[in-house]
Amino acid sequence: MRRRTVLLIAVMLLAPVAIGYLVFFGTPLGMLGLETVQRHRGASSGLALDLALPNTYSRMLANPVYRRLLGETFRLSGACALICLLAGYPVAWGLRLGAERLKRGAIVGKFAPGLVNMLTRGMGWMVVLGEFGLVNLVLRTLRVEADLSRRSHLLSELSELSSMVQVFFPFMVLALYGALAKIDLTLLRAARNLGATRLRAFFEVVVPLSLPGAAIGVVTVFALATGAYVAVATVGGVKVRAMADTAYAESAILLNWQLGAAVLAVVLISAAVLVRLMIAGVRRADPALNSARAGTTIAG
Amino acid sequence: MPEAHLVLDRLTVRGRGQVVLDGLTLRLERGQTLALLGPVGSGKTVALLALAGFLRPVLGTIRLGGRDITAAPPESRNIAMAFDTDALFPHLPVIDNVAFGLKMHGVGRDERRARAAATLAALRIGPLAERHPARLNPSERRLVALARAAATNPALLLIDEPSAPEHAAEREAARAVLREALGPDHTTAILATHDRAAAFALADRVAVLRDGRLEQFGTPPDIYEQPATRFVASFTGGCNLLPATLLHESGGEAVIGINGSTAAARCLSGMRPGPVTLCIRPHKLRLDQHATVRGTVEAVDYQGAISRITLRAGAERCVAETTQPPPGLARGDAVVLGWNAADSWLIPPEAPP
Repeated sequence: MRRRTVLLIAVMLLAPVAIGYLVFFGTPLGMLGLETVQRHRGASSGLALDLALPNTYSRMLANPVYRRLLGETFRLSGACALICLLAGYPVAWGLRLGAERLKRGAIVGKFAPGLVNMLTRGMGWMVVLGEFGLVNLVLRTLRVEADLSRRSHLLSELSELSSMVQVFFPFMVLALYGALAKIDLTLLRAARNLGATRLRAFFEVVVPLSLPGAAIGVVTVFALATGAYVAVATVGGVKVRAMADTAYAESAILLNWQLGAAVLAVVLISAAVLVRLMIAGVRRADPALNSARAGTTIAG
Repeated sequence: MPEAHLVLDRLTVRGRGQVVLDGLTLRLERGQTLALLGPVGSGKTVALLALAGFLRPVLGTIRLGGRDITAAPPESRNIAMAFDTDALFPHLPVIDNVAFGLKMHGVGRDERRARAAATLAALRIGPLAERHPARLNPSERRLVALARAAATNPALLLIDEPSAPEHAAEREAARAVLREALGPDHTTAILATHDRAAAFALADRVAVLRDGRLEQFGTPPDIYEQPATRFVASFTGGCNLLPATLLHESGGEAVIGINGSTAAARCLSGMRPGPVTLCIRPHKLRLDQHATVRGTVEAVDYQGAISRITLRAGAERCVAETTQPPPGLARGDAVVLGWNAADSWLIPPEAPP
């Protein structure tokens, strides 16, 4: 009886969000799915059903350009997640050990870039990475070879990565911090007491215990990065075409809705599969951890 | 004379603007067990953390095995500690928790697992080897924490007993666990506890701490039978503390004035005449005729093995414990109190703080 009441309350609490998701996320997603399997009729086809074998996919995947794009998207997203992870650990650990006031300041500071409009942020990167930007100014001052310092760094993988890392870094730090905050600091004392140096104690105790947080961080950043394309469009330009960007170009510029939808569907499905694999990987790497703290494991 | 295994000299630790350990000086021989006995906040844990290297003393030195380790980092001290919260690594099974210290010391996987298994077997918790800490009960966790600390065969073993209030049965169990952990191979150990029974039963030396200061250091019988202060007398078990006057002293034999008559008592030789506190343990207080102090019975509590009789003598209240209470003794009865001079001890007046 009581359990049923609890269940009812849970359903009622979840319902508004669930309905919102269904209407604003589920519907377009469904239409997107339909679009990819409909017979091609030029521009936007609406909801009229005219199903055909999904040769859109085979056409797309047969095309080496799209295959390379797909790989590039995941490579970039993976690199972004990895960089965020490596850079995020020291920051999150510093926050864990730091004083309360420092923590608040640092968290606000990290999210400040997120408050700026994406396009504005892109422009900001132009100021730094452009032909007459900050980086080149420094390079020229240091008299680095002319070839490097004259070039704009905007349209490169590096610039793209930088901007992605900047945007997604806070998510990683928050995920890591959440895991690190649960670690009893006496465990570090115990490790050092048993002969571990500071560094060794960190790798033997802190890292394994924060693995679930790291996994959440990596999955979050990876998924967000895969879907990011506005920043890519501004900073990466056309040279480094990521998959989401291509989908945007196909549908909005070339008005090839079907191919655009197919590109997005492929990104979505393969990202979901990759995320699933990552979670499974972490689970297998540390089954003990997951059995020991079953309540606090990855919630997808 | 060779230097003692562990020498603490005026060890002083400050924390949050306060002196939390004030000039602790003591020495401990190899193979001895020392109990730091005191209430919560008396500085027991502080002393252990300073020894382990997690609190930097502002003054004083720590010498272990002839080496000054006052400023050495925790990992190079060869001092292992069982924390009051156990602090087991939740991601490792029991066997790897216990083998952790050996791993840090570069012992290979097979050997360290074998040695950890031997440690577990010695504590009779071998079957727990593959369990994770989350699936242990509190006393099992405690045993594993002790095993983990002992497994590295440290030069000094520190044991911080949890200070949660416990039932007598739980205290008994905790003592048994400690006895197992201290084992027959006599690691030099320091046990921080608020349980006087554990301190007396397990330790060769007891240091009574109060507000960061050492009140008394000695063997358990010294502490119990010849308490240096009123605090030591009452913290180490019930004690009747009666105001008296030292009239004459010679070689530790004293004549005191109490309640208008005189009596014999023991004390430190060389004690100055004047006001003193007479200390008699309840089980040493007799109700008989060769007595000096008259009293009135306030309550008789029959407790089975013993009876506990509360008395009023003048302005003071005393407690006598006896296995054979006088038959028919009841509230309001007049009694006379007596003691053997050998069972009494005089405590000098304490300087105002």
